[in-house]
Amino acid sequence: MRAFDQILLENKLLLQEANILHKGGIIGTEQLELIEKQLPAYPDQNVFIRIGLFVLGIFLYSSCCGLFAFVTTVGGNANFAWTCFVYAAFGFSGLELMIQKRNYYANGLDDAFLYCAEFSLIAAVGFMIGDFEQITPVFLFAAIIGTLCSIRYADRFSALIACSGMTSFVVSVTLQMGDFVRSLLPFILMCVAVVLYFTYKKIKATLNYKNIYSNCLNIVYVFSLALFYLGGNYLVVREASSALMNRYVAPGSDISFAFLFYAFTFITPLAYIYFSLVKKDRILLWTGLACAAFSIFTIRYYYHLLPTEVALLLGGFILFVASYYFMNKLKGKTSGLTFEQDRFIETDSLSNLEVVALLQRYAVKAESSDSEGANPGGGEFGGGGSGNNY
Amino acid sequence: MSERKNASILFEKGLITEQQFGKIKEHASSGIFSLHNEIRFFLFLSVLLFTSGAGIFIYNNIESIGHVAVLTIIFLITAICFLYSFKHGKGFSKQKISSENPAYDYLVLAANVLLGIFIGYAQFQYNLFGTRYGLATLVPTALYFFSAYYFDHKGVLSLAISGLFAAVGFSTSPQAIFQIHFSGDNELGFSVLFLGVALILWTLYAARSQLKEHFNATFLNFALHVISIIAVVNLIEYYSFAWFVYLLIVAAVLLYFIRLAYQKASINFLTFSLIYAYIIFNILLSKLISMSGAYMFIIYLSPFYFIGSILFFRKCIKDFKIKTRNAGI
Repeated sequence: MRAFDQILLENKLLLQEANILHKGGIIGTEQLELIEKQLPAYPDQNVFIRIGLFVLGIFLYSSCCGLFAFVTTVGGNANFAWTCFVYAAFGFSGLELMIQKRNYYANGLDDAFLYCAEFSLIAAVGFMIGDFEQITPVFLFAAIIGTLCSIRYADRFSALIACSGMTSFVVSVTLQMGDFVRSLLPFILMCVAVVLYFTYKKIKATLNYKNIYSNCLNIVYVFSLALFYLGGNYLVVREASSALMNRYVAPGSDISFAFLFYAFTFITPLAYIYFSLVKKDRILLWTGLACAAFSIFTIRYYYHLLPTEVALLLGGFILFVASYYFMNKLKGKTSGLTFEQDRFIETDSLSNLEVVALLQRYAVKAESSDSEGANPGGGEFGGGGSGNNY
Repeated sequence: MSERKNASILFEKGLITEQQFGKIKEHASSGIFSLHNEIRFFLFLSVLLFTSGAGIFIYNNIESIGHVAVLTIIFLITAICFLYSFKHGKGFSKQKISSENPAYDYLVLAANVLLGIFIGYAQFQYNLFGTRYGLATLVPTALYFFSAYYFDHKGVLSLAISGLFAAVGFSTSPQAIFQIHFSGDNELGFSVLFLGVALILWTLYAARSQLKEHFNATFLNFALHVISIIAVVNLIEYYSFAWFVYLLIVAAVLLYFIRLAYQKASINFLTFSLIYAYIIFNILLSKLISMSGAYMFIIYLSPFYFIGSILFFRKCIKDFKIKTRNAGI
């Protein structure tokens, strides 16, 4: 059922843990090397190399497919379904060969082949049906393919395809129903999210120690949280109802159940953040924060309570004071919520991200000698649209 | 916490001692949930929001009454940030200074960004530096450098370096880099190359005199990316004498960075050097093909070419891992 060698993958996770312990100062360098020698594992790939190999893999795949198409379609053959099936067969067989013969697992190359093969297969089914009105089965098929691939290759992206395929399937089915059912779409989506969440819980409980699937499961987790929030978000509901069901919201009127969606928009992120702190769940915390940011965007999309610059100034000030307050309050605590650094958690990548964000916003701009409104030192004219975020 | 499950497997396999496992269990049972990164992120975000707001505010309300008053208030905030930083800073040191108070780092940042906005505004509204636009860029740059070295701040340092490049007419914000296009301006290209090489030479000096050695990574990153990108953009275009200069310099720089990667066991330098080298190699190859006109071969040979490239990269990485491991022990 699994394409990869389970022991090699488990050892990879163990080595990652050993590395964390090493950085946390629990084990020494010699011991780490000893552990590395004792546990043969898939190599841990640097993220940039993985991206580089991924791009090369895409090139390789598309050049092979291009060669095939060049040879077969010269006579004007336009049966895309079979061409796509051949592409998919080529992708999957190449992938299996790579994993089993060369131990290429999660190194970028196999990712490229997996994604391309999955898309080819889904596209092949789409071409077989050949009718854009009847796209519903394609979504179902995508969900099945995604699930099978995430089981066989323990791959995060396939898990995402599975989740979004399923959601799209439900949306697509609902939209073909009568008016009443269609207007229940937000609630149906929230139910889907709840079902996904309990599926996640159930699978996690059964797998327990075998956490080779923890990556996939985390995707399902975040997806279910995000779907639940977006399903009840006022902005999404309102815009989707006008886009999908051609319901125009006249000025002065509002969508039905508006108060309910406003409530969801506010309560869901707060609940996420609250429970994340209670349960000490970092994934939930960051999802909650992202949802909260989107809620603020939602409000500012419809109500310009304050001019952008004032909102930014005030927001920045309040945020600073609040962070400063919590920082001082949580400083020096050795249990529970704390500001002290966890010895097992890194801070490097965050500070690198900060530098990139800083450069994007405030890198000193080159002068052109005739520019009007020259603003060296970064006083960005007009704010570049990013102001909407608060 | 459940996340340390793998540690108990390591313990069961006898790979870590009971004492070490005890420490891990103790850590887990304390129920610690560190919000360090999250709060730091919020502090950073607050600085970004506030300074963006200030930047927009100044330009949007130039004509209105009370404008001067608000300017004064923001200026006072800048001054307070600087005063606070000077008061709580530990003073200049050649080594790395680690502050206990992260809010201090972000106040330094806020002070510098606001200062930059002010100088920009003064130039815009009152023509502080007249038409000497170079000066209008170099003055904030110099102030940034001073702050970066005095307060030991990596973020301000990167702003300062971006100022250096801006002074010769090259914008280094990520967005500008992505939108870069060939201008045929060799004066600009060569000044950027020269500046990049100067940054590399500066890191050599800094390493020798032990002056803020931890800044070197920032300098080198700027040098590597900016030199490679300006070279790639110029190499795509026509042939001329300048073309060969770009090729020679970028080849030398990339070789230097690959050597440096082996020395410092830095896989990021290696990866990016290889990627840029590969891009440049492909540019040369495509020029060769377009000269010979052998287009048909591309379709038949490209799969083999990509397989060859992939195997080559795998070999490079493997070699790097073996050699740096031996060097590390």
